Amino acid sequence: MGKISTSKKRRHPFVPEAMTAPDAVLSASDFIWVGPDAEKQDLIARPSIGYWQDAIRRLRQNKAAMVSIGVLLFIMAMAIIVPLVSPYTISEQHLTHMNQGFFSVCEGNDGTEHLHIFGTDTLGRDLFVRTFHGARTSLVIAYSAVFINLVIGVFYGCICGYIGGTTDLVGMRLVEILNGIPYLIIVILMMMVLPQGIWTMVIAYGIIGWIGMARMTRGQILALKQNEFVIAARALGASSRRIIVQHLIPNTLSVVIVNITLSIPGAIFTEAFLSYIGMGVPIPEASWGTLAQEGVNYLQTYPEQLFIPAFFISITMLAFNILGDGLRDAFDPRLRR
Amino acid sequence: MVKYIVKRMIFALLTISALVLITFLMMQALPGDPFIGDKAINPVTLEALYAKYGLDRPFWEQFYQYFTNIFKGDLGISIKYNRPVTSIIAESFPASAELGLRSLVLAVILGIGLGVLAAVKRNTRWDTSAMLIAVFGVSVPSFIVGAMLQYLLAIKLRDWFGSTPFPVMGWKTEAAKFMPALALSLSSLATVARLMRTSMLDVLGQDYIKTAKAKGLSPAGIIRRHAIRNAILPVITVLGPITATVLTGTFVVENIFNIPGMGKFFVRAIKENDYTLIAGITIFYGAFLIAAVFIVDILYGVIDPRIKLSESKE
Repeated sequence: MGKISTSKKRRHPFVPEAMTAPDAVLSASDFIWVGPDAEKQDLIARPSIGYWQDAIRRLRQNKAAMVSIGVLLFIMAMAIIVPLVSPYTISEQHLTHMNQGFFSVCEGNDGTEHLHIFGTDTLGRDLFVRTFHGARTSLVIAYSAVFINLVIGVFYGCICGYIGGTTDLVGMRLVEILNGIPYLIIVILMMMVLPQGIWTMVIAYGIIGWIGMARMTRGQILALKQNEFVIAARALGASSRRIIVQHLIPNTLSVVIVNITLSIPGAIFTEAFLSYIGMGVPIPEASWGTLAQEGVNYLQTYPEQLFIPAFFISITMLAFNILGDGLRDAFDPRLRR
Repeated sequence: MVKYIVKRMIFALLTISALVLITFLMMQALPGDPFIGDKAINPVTLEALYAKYGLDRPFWEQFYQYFTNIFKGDLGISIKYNRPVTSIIAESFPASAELGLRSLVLAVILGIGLGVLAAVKRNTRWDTSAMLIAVFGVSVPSFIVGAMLQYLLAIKLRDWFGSTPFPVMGWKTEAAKFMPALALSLSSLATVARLMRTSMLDVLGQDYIKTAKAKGLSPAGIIRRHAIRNAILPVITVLGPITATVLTGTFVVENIFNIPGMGKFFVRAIKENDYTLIAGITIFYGAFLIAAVFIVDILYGVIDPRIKLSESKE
């Protein structure tokens, strides 16, 4: 580094020898301002930005995606908090106070008044707590189902893509055949066999929903395994398992994250759809789908009973879709249009 | 080309067989018994009923019987209605098919229109609003759209103006058919619009568009004759999947609008544990969709000869 500075032009004069002597007397006027240090100017001023930091920075600039994150965090927070702090339970009935609108005040038997923020349904149950309890159910189903998809899909895709050859051929043909059958039909069939409940839905959707993830992971692995770093890792004696876990999967992560975000709305939709045709969580449990299904019967007289769950289903799916698009743009700006 | 068709066909047949097997396995594993209801039943009668419907024979025999019957066009007899499943399908399918076709046509025409508009007016207000509609379309489930349409077009219009051409439900008039078709088409419409926009932007950047411009063709002529025709190709590939979306969507939409289609029978059959009807409709739906995807695949190969190249490389 020293050489760089001597090669640059110095603007101050050569320091006289008298000044460097041990007994020299120095005053402020003996010093002159030399300007910014040439050496420091050559240094890289900002820390280098990694792939993930870059993506996060790009995502932050995407207003729609940031709003979506905010909305989703809000709904999730409400789903956790509201059922905990609400004075009502999901099945508690207020028989003198049925089918009431927003912010209705109900008088209890003991003369006390209490507020129903979203009103009550036909059985006099508080819709505010039911809506956010429903959010819990719907989101738990969606997240768990997508998590199962992720595990099976990535595992299956990695095996097929990495091993290749006959394994890949057979594996992908199997996927192609399964993919030909509309997934909702299989989910409905499975729902009929298994007992009703949250985890049935998770299993029914999780077991069939991984196909997209498997195909995508396989494609990524196929492209990645040609890369030099994989050859280098193998030359250094890394096992296949280590190559997959340490080198290949981390590189597919961005695509996987986008895929997960975009498949959550699908899971939410499936839950709502199944509840709607009468295969949802058993009563008196609430999910957004069952709330919508109960609400649609009273559409003509009390439309808000449908509109509340419909609003939350739609806004959540919308937020996940926008966030997914935003993540895709952030991870790979070339895809942006 | 022939090789491609044969290959696709084998796949379609394998898929249908897998579907039949899965359906049959599920039906075997189902809890509940179609003959045990509210009324007490004599064990001898029960045995006779089992024998009549072949439920006492071993698993593989039942499966073999079922499988061969399907290829003969026999889907069994509905347990609740006591009539052939095929006749129920024949009676209810036309309404479902009409609904499906109407929403497919709406989805494709409106979707392509929106996509072209968005691409041509790229980065303007038009583009933003078209893509906003598309994102909404993907995010709002069809049954919610259906209920909203019912509420706005049938109930609210009547409240405001005293009368409305749209009935709350039914399947008689053109106006009555429009609402469920629109509700069902929205998500497919959105898919088509997004794809069309991307594809259109691709095409508009091609050299032959520049050539056409340099030759002095009118912008409208370029878009109509050169851009749309080329950009429409990828849309054909999603026709298969969106047919599936539309058809499974009919399950709920038919129930909301009280349309006498297969979806209504299917949902009722689920509630009534009518094994044979569920299995029959499932297989019919599945086979129909697999056939639709097969036709779309072949169509795509015929329309775009480049597809053969990528196939032979594989």
